[in-house]
Amino acid sequence: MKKHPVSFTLNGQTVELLTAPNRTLLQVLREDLGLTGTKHGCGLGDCGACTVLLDDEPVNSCLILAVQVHGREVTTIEGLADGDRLHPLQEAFIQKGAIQCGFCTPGMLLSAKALLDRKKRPGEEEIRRALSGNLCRCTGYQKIVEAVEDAAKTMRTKKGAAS
Amino acid sequence: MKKQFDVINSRAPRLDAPDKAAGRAVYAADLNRPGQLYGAILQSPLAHARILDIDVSRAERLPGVKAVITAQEVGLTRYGVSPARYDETLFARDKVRYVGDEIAAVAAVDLETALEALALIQVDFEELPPVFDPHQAMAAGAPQLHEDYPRNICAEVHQEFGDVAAAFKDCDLIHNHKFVNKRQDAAFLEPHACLAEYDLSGHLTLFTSTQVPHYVQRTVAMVTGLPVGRVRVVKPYVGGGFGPKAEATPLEMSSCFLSMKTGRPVKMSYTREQVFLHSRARHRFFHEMTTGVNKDGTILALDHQCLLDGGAYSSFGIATVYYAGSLLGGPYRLPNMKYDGWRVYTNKPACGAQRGHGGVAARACFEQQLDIIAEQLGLDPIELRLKNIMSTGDVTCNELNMSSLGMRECIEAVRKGSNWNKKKGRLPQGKGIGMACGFFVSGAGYPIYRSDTYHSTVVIKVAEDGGTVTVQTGSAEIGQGSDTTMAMIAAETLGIPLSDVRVVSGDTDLSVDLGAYSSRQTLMTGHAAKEAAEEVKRQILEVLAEELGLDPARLDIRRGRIKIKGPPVDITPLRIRYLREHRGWSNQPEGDELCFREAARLAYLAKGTIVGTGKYKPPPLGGRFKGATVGTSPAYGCSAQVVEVSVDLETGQVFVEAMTDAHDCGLAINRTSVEGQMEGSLCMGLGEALFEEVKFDEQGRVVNPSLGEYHIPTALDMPKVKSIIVESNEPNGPFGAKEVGEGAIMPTIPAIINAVYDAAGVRINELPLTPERVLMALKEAQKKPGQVKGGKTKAHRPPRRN
Amino acid sequence: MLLPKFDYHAPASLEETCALLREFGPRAKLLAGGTDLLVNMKKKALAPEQVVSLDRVPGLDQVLTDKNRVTLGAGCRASRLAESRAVKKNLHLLAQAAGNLGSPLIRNRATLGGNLVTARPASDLAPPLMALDARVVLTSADGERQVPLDEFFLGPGQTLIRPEEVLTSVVIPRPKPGSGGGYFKLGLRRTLEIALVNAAAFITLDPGGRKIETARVVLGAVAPRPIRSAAAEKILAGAAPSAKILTQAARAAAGDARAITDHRGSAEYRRQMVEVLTRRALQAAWAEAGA
Repeated sequence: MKKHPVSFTLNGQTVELLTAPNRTLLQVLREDLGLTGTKHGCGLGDCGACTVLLDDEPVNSCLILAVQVHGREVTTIEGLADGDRLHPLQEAFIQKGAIQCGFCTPGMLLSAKALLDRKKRPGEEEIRRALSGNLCRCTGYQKIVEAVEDAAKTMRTKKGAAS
Repeated sequence: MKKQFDVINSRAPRLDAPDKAAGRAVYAADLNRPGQLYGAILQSPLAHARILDIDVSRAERLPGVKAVITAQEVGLTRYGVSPARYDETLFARDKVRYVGDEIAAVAAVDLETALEALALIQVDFEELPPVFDPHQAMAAGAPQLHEDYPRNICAEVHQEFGDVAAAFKDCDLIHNHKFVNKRQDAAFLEPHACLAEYDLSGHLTLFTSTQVPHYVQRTVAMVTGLPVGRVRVVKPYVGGGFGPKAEATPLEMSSCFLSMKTGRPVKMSYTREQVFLHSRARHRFFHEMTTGVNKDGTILALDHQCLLDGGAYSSFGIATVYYAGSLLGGPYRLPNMKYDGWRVYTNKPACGAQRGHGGVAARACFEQQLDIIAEQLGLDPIELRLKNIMSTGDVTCNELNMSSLGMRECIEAVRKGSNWNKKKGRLPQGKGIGMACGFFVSGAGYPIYRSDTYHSTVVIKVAEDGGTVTVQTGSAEIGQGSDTTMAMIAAETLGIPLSDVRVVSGDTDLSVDLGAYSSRQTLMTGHAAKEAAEEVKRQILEVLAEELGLDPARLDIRRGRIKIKGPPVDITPLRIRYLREHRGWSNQPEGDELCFREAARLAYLAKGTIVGTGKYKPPPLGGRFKGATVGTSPAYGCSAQVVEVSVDLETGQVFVEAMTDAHDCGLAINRTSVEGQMEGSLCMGLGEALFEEVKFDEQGRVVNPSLGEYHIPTALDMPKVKSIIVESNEPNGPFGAKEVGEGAIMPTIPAIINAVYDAAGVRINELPLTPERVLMALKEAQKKPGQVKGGKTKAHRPPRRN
Repeated sequence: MLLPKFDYHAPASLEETCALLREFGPRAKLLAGGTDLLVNMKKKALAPEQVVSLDRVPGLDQVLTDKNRVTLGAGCRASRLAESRAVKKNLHLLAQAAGNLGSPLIRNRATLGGNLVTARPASDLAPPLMALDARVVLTSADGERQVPLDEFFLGPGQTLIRPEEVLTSVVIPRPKPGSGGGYFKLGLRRTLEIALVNAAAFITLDPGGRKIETARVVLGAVAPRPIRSAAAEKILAGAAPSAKILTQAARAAAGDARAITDHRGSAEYRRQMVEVLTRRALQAAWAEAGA
């Protein structure tokens, strides 16, 4: 089984590696690149714990071959914060108690980010729908939805305010 | 009188949240060690079979394989959860008892090789007839799973409190009701994972996703034969537990043996499918309850039988079969209660403890029955509850002491919060409102193994300089927020800001703690943390008092400052001492009160490292009858819920539109965390009520071992939840706190099924309420328009006995 | 869960793709969204020796609308179909169906072509497309052929596509004014569900709006492949639209269902749901057609 070169942008940096084609993006992120923030929950696209952004769209990284991201942009949870400045979603999740065991959190945050990057003022139903591929067993989703609403408000205010 | 707290009872953000939000929190599968091997387990494809031969030779010869182990290598030490039922061995030697039963394990240089090696292990089986239904398993002539347990009865319970038969004679109404749920799965997002490291000096460290490092340590030591002092269990962050992770797993023990055999670290995890095969999750319960009441609604007697489908091994089941009965002793006054329970072996994965342990299906049955009785008596369901609830200080017929019980407050809160009075009886067809109550232990009164051990010990060490403290505890943060809770209790007790408290936890090196199960840590570990903090505070203030020449009773610490009662005291000399010692530092203490860090520094200079220890063990609880211990607890949380549903009368689909929950947690150490546990419990209850069941085929294979086919609620399935915290101030809890983690799920299923009755006029007494089940019930009901809604009154007859 | 070993190809053109398929034949599988292929490979249901990715092939994800037809590239993701203005405007029931497929994460990957070629009886996209009288375009090194979608499915996982062919686009006649469609899906949860039963309906009223000129009713998950309900369509064709006629048609559709009992539900329940979902789909179609 021949290995393939893959060159892609990961959290803003170029990454080049050689990989067997039967390795998923999830495996390569976690095992080859040491980025364990993206989680393995089921391996079959049923739970969303492995969510990453592929060219800004949230996808299950367990169902993408690493070779498929050649030339693309991947954002993982490790790329959400800006250096040591947490993203407003991360701040909101922390403040609102949207994190319990934390295992769904990376995927949940990225799905939420994709939503807020597209929609400034999502309604509750829209938020739930955007997160509907990310399962959570701990929170009942209540505080997650509240956190996303909060972050949306913060992000609108920040943009509107003069620097 | 509301106390004013500085740290607790607030919405402090959790200590672990930033790392989790940044993807930096390390879980067991995130761990890696140089030179690590990867392990995999060979599992039985058959539900019941004798093992005639195991040939591992081809597997051993596969390049990259470093060890293959079977019962021959690891021995046949029996283990389990309760020493009364050590009925499993790590690997099967004589026979396998369910599809998934472990036979061997392999360690190799990578996972592909390990899995390839499994395929090379040859096992000769002689198939035995399996039995999957617990009724059949108890019948004469059924295949026997365990030699020591005839008729496959793993455990049976027979208890009577008061005199049920006599009480029934006084009843105006006796109602008989049956209820059955399905086997469920905890479906935590993180599959089990572990990494075992056996070092060159004979010490074993097991990193594992567990709720109970202490019990795992003991089981691993017992099964490996290593002295317990050479076994260390470390829990990284855990992605949910909910019960099935409250016992040692074959995954953990395999990795330990493999590491011992190879001398290398061995990393292992379950696939999601294997999580389903391992199970140790909620039993299937067949309940039959005959309840007698007066016409004014006073509950007089309950005759209760329950059959538990236990799967192939005991796991927690011997406790489960007791809880199924004992947890009906409250929260209503019930002077006469009879309970007969049987937990039966079947050739399926073993069932164990899952959130609400044994009480969930029983509570659903009873609360549905109470609604039926209310209707027959012409009483509002809430009024019926209010008529019967116990009060603080009452003791149940099975000797459980309600040292605090905010049941009335919870009921009134949800009645008001849901607008019950405006909605009940006024919603259109297809829309309904229902309610239910529940209660649960705040920690089991006794450890799983017979012992006088403390249930929790905590060590608090004060930094020699810098004014911070570290709480060291063996307790398990599994997502419920226990680390933050202990930090808040320590900070509140000591009088310092939360930001000055660090927690190190989940490591058996740190202290003894029985772990996160039976909703125990806030009360029990909390007590120990409080005691340790008090001890630290005492030591520090003692030194300070001496330095200042004051009576220690004049001194206190609040918000990080030393408060001195009475005539003012000049602290300047002590301040100068501190400043001199920290010349060149910025952020120096100022103001006319000493800071905690100055006092802590003084204490160190006087006494050396300041350490406080705390410990907690409940007093002897409960009665003297057999099984009395199960259900005992130093305190009981309770709750009430109101749920609104809409039912699509053409498809049978049930949609939960609103949920209002009130939970008495004694005192909320962290309000956000308490609400989080309430909301999560409701979500799990909703899933179990509407969607969740583990299904088997005729060969005993799990048909839906995936999160695609075992359906847990998504964000679109959950409505908004209104969470109301009730605080009854539990005298046996630290600062008045008691549980929330498991009690909150108790009312959910019955509130939903009661609401469905209100919406659609059908009583469904089998879970889950799939659209098909609901529609079929609707069609049945339509065929018999004359029948009284909600079942019939039966003349009393003696309940069946097996 | 590990994927088995395979050789991987990422051709840069359709020609290259067809050449590879000609070379490998049934030893190769095409990879588009991966939400079905990779799942089945992990479950060991499939282990193709060669995996040929369509990622680099240009021109497969276009949405083209002209006077007479709408042409959808097979590489269109379900999310695109759900959100595209052209699809929502002209083929509303398809947008609805696409928006109900899987989860948002799956929708960002699953493709139109993949959903059709994998031929699951409960496919979300097949019933609306059959109701819209779609044709699939199958391309190989030898050229192109078009097959009506009605004839394309043979059974679970089986279609008329040949090993050397690529499904490149789906052609749908542009609905005339006075047309409307509806799609309903029944599952346990509100999302992330494989349909227990699904139904699509499409009707076109005559220019006066008083008669149903054409009607197509498609039932999913109640047969080895999505099926048209001849009995329902017979009742509808030429009839004056009314709640009564729609109810009759829905009842007839239930008679056409060949549902089975499996662990998800009984045949009888599925049959009853065919009636309910078909009626609702027809009502939605009528409402849209009359609007």
